[in-house]
Amino acid sequence: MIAAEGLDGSGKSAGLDALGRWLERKGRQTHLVAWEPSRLVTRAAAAPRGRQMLTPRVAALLSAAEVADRIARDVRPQLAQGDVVLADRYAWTGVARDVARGLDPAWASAVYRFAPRPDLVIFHRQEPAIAMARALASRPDSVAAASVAGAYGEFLDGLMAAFEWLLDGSSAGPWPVGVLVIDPRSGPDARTIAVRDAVRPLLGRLADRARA
Amino acid sequence: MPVATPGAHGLPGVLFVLEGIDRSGRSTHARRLEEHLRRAGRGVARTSLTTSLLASEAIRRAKQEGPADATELALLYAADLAERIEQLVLPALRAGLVVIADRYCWTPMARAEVRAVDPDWLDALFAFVPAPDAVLLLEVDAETSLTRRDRDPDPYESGLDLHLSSDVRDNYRLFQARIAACFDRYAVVAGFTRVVATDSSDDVGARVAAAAEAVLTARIGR
Repeated sequence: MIAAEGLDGSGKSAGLDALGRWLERKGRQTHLVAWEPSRLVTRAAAAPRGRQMLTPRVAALLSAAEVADRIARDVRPQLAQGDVVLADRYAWTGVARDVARGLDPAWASAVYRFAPRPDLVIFHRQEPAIAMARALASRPDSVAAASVAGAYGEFLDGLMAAFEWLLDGSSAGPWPVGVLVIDPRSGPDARTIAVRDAVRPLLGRLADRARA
Repeated sequence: MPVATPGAHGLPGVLFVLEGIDRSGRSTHARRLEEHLRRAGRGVARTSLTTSLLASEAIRRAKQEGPADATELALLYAADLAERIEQLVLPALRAGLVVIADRYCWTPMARAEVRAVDPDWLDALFAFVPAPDAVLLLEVDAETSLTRRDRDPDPYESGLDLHLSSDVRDNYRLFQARIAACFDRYAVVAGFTRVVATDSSDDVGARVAAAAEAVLTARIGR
């Protein structure tokens, strides 16, 4: 299992697509699993009374429940049959979001321990300003949008700080995990080489497991 | 997991939790205790499992859609409890009320644990809940639970997904015994007060009231 993590517009999805195609050419069955916004949280936020109940902790638990459901259907069976699962954002995204909303980092990490530990996390570093420009590009320009951007900017800074904490600590996050950090200024070829170099030894291990 | 300790939550109110296997009389005695305390002039708030606005519906749906993932359900139960703690339990404790919780984190923990969910993870998941002043464990054996059982119990709550026996009644009894074994362990770790709950409702009610009064006297001195 390989998970790509990072802010919007960092090239995660394109990188994962390319990795998937490369793995398929090498004869691996791959499954791409995309992180989706929680339907329960979205629905709750749409109603005034729901919004009142939707504290950071309740939102964290509702979205984690949906992730657990998706993992039971789209991740565990695929890993069990020896396929490669590529996750476009995964547990770190959930933990970073919950920490950015003010929850205790140790608790937010523990919640996601139910998620199978990836063999590799590919972390795409990204400037919050670029991530924000990317996120706002699809929205209409207005006075309201400017104030949303202000609040969102703060949230992105919090997310980035939480990701840095996850990258930093051996005790941070749901599980200890191998990480490849991709620099935003690196060219596409350098990225491809770095990713393949990091993934190749994992495939050897997978082959060993299959033989055993 | 939280450990029952008088006053540990640091708020002026008092939190009582009633736990026990199915048909142990939890809900009946939560209501009776509320009436008893009200008659004694105390302000009471009561809350029970899956009555939250945001998670209850999702829990019902997850169970209906067939064999639900036990990890997903544990997280939904945690969301249900988190909402009720934030919206009801903590405000009531701050206001100095007596709060009666008809089941708390332990029923969801046991239901997940018997389905092979990691107990250490469940412990960490529910670490956010305030420690009750006392947890009253209503003790009935699985056989008694079976004789009191609904004709058509919830399949998840009676463990039909675990296929413990081809006989529905036998499956129910075996499942309740497994839940009871979890409660036995929690009782030691989390300092439950055991209440024998096999005899008449009046006798059990008197025992529950006496146990609650003892804690109230220690906490508030009256």
